[in-house]
Amino acid sequence: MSYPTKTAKAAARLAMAGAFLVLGFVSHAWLQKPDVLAAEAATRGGTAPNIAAAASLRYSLDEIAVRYAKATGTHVKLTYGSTGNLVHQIQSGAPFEVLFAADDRSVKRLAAAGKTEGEPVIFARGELSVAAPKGSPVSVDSELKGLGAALAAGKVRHVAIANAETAPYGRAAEEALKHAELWQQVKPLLVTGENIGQTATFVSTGAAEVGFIARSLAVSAELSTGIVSAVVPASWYQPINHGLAVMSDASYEAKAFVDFVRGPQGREVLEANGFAVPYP
Amino acid sequence: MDWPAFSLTLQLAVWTVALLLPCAVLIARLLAWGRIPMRGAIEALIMLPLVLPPTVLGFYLLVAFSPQSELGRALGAIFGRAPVFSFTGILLASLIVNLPFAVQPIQRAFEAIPRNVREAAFVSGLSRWQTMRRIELPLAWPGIISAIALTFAHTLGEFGVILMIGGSIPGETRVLSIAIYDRVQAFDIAGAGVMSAVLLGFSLFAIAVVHTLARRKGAASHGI
Repeated sequence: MSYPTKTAKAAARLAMAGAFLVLGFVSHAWLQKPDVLAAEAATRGGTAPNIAAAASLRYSLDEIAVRYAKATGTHVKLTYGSTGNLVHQIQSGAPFEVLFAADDRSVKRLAAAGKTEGEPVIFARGELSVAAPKGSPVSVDSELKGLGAALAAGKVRHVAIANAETAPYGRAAEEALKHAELWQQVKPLLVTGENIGQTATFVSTGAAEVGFIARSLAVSAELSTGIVSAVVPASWYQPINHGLAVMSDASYEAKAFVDFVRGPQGREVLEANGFAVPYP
Repeated sequence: MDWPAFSLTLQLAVWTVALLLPCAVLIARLLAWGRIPMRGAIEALIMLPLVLPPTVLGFYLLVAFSPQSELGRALGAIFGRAPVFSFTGILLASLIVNLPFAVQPIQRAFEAIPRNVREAAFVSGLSRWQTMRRIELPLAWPGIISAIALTFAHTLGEFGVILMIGGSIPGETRVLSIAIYDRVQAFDIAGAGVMSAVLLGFSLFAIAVVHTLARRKGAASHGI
């Protein structure tokens, strides 16, 4: 009978897997420790405020947060996602103190639900870019003439946009395509990113031949090397207003960061990243 | 209620089971009894999708399936176009994701068949194929059934990888789990609720059917 040895073998294997698991945890904890200590030291024992932001703001807010940390010694914890998801999470009690949204509708929704302190404000205006991976059969230009030609030649298989119903850049892309009278041709080729960040990934990986993304992402160092992009005329779509809402339980540190974003340093970074910043 | 999404989810689950099961039986049998080199490594490789986050797998597949990659072009030559953003693509992903769910239970079932039973079959003059059909498969039946159940149920709920490589195309890659996610994003709680309830009910139903089937068949084969 081969049963006992088999069981023994299985037990040995299990023990080995267990040992590896423990080893993994220990080494992970050990590697993590210096980081945690550094973060704690940097925040001087205080807790870093939790800030939620739309994916299109990633590069700008990361940079602003670095500048903020340099200027004040205070860190902030930034979480990026689709605005819709973040609003859901806040409504379900997620501990975000501020939301930097990619639209103004969702911050108004939070204000209406009595979650915010004061009225939401518009802190930036986004711009829509058309983008294609390098080597794409679609040549990219502001007026979408290259896209029209590639569509007519049947060279386009996928056009990536963000979800037009839930993401403001998706809505703007639909409006721009309708304005250019390309919507009917594009509609069957649409692939929808869950948020604008994923849409940009669809383009940058070459999975889609062309896509409509936030200019803030198109000009970022991470993406601009692999793609070609052009800004779509702002008159072709309704403005993409980025609203921010401060939650009623926001800490002093969170509000200080909001002031910093709306101050000269924040404006500088936002404008450099392809946003228009309205004067208050 | 997004019925096209529901039907697409079903198609994906049925295709995954149909394509994966024969492969899984062969792989499981080989792993259970075959003399193959680097068995541990192969077993680990098959287990990998179980521990890998769907996002990791999704990321690799997104890059690999894109028309700009070698693999994407090669697959494009076979299927007519690169598999990213297509039903073929999410089916390939689903096959990979479900490999451990299909192989593991069947392998355990084969391993539980005592060697002398198979030897007795050989000695009785049964050919290899007859031994497999009349002795091994019936004895491994409960394992095969749980492989079907796991694969089917797991595919119904597949989300992460499809979110990464699907692009939410209606009738092509927007399966029910993605449609539910879309509804929640659009603050359509009622729509999401209905679809979630349908998926919940159907998953329960599918598991119940498979388990009843397993018990009956299992009892029958043991009763012979």
